[in-house]
Amino acid sequence: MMQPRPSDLPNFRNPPVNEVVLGVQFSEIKGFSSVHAGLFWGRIRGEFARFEEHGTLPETFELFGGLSGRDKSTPSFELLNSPPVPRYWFINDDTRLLQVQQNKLFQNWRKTGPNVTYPHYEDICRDFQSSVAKFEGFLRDEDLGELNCNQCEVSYINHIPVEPDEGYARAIDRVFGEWLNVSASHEAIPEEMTFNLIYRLGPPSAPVGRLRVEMRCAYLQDETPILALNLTARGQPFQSDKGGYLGFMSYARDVIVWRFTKITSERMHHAWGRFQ
Amino acid sequence: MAIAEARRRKPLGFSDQETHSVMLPSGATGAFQQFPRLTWEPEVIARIRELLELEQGWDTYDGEPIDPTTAGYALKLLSRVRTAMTPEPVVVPLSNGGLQFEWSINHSRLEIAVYAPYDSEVTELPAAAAPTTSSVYANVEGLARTMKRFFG
Repeated sequence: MMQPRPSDLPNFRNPPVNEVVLGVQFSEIKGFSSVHAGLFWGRIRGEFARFEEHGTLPETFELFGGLSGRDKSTPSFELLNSPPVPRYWFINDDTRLLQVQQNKLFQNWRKTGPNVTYPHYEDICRDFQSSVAKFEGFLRDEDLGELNCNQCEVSYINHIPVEPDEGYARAIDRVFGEWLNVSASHEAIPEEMTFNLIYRLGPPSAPVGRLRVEMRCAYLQDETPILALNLTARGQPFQSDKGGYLGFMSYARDVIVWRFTKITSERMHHAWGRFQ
Repeated sequence: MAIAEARRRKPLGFSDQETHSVMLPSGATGAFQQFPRLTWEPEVIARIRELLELEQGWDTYDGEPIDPTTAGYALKLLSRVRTAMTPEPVVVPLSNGGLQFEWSINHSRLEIAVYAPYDSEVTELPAAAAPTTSSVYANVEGLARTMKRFFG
């Protein structure tokens, strides 16, 4: 069950969210093929009129302890005995994208134009649940088994415009305020910046996932400079039952919103219409 | 003693060729290594690939085929907790579709049974003491300490 929004969670009328992605990873569906992807598309074509094929995303597992990072260099794709089934994008030309591969399902909300309003997490999550339910129904009907979820994740991708003639360094000062403090000194003027922060989630003795915060200087397709701020929380479902991913996802959303609020400046909170 | 014996050994299967040194921006080569691979890792991957071919009933009972997701997870788990002194494990299938890594040193044994992602057990079978088993979930620090103690 989706958790209600905490009453003290910061809220913004006009946050700089450009994309939100909710996703689950599950045990590989044995026998799932391109034919099944096509059959599934037939069921959702009314909502997602177009499709594309993309490369398979690797499996990810958040582990804690041991030598950090070494497992990322493990080439688990070498275990594949046959070419992987691609990742399918089922595209709604409005704002939604559904991604399905043999062991993952993601749904994206995308700000596809300047007048598109961010619908907030609860609406996006309801939509995601609906897509998961449709996929589960399809698997049952095709005798392909159940979704056995082992990881879930929530991502918020923010695009924060750099003002004309401002430059990245001053934009970073404006957006992130004092904790980052990259202001120019007499001997060096910062030009660009990238940072990656990784946080462990949950109690030290029983971590439940990680939050990754990445900021980089970037350009939109029309060459408008922006600061791209991505926050992704990933971890195990809190319960193993059907829909058990929802508890982690609500928690992940809260963690992301709090971290976003803590690392951005009050000046920007005002500009984004913070009302809570 | 198994531990003392393991410590006297040279790093097992450690290959200079597969050590990835890091190039610093100035062109200077750093004196640290980033996640060197052990020479036996391709052998373990090849063995797991073989096991992924097992069919239902492979053990003449009702043994499940090896679950590819569990196999991938097991490999990641092993990479995370093995030390530079860890020798090549014996990899055996489990009837629930999982995998087990096994090592024997001087009559002592260490086994890691991976039943599913985040559902593993480590069992130490010392030469002259009772075996001990503990569960391993997302936090693998305890398992990493066991590996360090067993292999050095």
